[in-house]
Amino acid sequence: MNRERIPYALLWSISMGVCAVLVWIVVDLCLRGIGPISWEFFSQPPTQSGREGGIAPMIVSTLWIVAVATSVALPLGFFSAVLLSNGNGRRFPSLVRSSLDMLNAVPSIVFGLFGNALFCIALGMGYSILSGGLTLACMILPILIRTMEQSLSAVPADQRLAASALGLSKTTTLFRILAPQAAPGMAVGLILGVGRALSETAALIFTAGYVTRFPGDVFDSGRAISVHIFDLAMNVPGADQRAYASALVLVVALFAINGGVRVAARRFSVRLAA
Amino acid sequence: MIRAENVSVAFDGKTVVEGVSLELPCCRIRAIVGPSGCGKSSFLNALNRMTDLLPGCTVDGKVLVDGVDILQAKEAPYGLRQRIGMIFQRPNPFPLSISRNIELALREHGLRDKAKLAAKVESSLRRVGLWDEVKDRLGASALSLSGGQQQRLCIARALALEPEALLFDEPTSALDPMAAKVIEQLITELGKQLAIAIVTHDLGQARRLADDLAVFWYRDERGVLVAAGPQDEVLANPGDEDAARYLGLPS
Repeated sequence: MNRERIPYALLWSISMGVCAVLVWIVVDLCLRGIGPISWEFFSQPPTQSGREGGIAPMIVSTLWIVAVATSVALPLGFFSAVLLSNGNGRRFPSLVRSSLDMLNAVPSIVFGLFGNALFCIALGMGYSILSGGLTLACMILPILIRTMEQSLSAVPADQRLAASALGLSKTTTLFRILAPQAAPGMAVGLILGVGRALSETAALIFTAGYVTRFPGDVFDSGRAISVHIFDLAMNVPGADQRAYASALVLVVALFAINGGVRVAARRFSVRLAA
Repeated sequence: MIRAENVSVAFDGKTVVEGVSLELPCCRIRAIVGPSGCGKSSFLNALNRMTDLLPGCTVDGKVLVDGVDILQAKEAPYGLRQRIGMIFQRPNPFPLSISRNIELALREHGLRDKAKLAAKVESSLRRVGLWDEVKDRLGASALSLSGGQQQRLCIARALALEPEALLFDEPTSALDPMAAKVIEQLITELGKQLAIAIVTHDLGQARRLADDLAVFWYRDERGVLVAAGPQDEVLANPGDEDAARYLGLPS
């Protein structure tokens, strides 16, 4: 009895400790950041370098950047994952997989420099939402491809057998049989990707820039919320409270996306089963 | 209907089945028996080119379907698998509704008319004796059915495409005896209409179902066909010692 209690208590306290870190961060953010949160904070541009005013342009820029990143990375990632999980040949997919894993380990600041060299300078897009979004697309591609490939491969092999024994084409098999069953797993991959894009700072400083006005279109420079937090915390004395408030907004958005996609994925698979 | 001539199957250059010649004429049931791992399933898979899906698998020889060698065919085997259906060991319905399971392949092969689809769903389910059990819940998930019902749905799904032959790969080994018995009755019934091959480890099942037998055995670590013919002839005179022992005949 006693012998079992000790490891159990140990496991319990470790997992509680992990949860406590999350709770601490959220509580800390709430206590320090709730002050400036108001309708104006969401609807107004910042004034006095961010000491006053809101974060409306940053919210818009962030949404633009994430939208560009996901709309480029999602189709690319999906079809790469399909290709890899089809396993045509053996050496090529494993080569691609190990390069993706290495790419996933590349620090984001390196992606930032790469994006700056390629998109901003070589392709002449300058500091812009487009450069930032494309850089983030490159950054989240590895994780998107890997999770999507894993969820496609996790579909039981007998589903592929059943489909081909009925003479279903590869396209039908993919879109009607495999992709719907892999959807919940792919949604998790999407959350991870969007989460990473949403919270990315280093890669954006060099690509999307940090101009605080509203972006007119994707060729305009724009400051993401994460870059705004960095700037307020590092470069603007007396803006701590607003940095906390911005962080709170970002974290709440991340939680919301996380929960929303999970619910959607569950709905989707329930509807499929019916 | 199907005639295999000197068919060999290899994985990554290693031959697992060598030189099998066998006929599957219409309206007869051919049971393929033999010890595990002697290539019965690999041979069966070659008959409608399901071997295409297996990495590193190559098939030599000829598989003639109505006189045309399907191994030489250039086009994708989608039409071929419509003509020669396959039922697997474990029931594998799609996680869709009962009716969608049947409609999906029909739509794929060009049937779009809703009334015709519904009629086809009903007639296929009737053919496998599932209609009365599921007619009130065609929209329910196929996964809510029992194992035996799922297997019958898989057969209905293949029958909806009006195949000329069905290949069964141990279709009852994952089912309870009662469900297996229903499937056996169904196969007997279908054997009057189609060319059927059934791989089975259950000799009793082979004897109950088969018009014709085929016994596979190992020779030099390769699967070969050692006895074939009408069931009573093979049982009377297998012409091969291993086959006789396997079939439990006095030597």
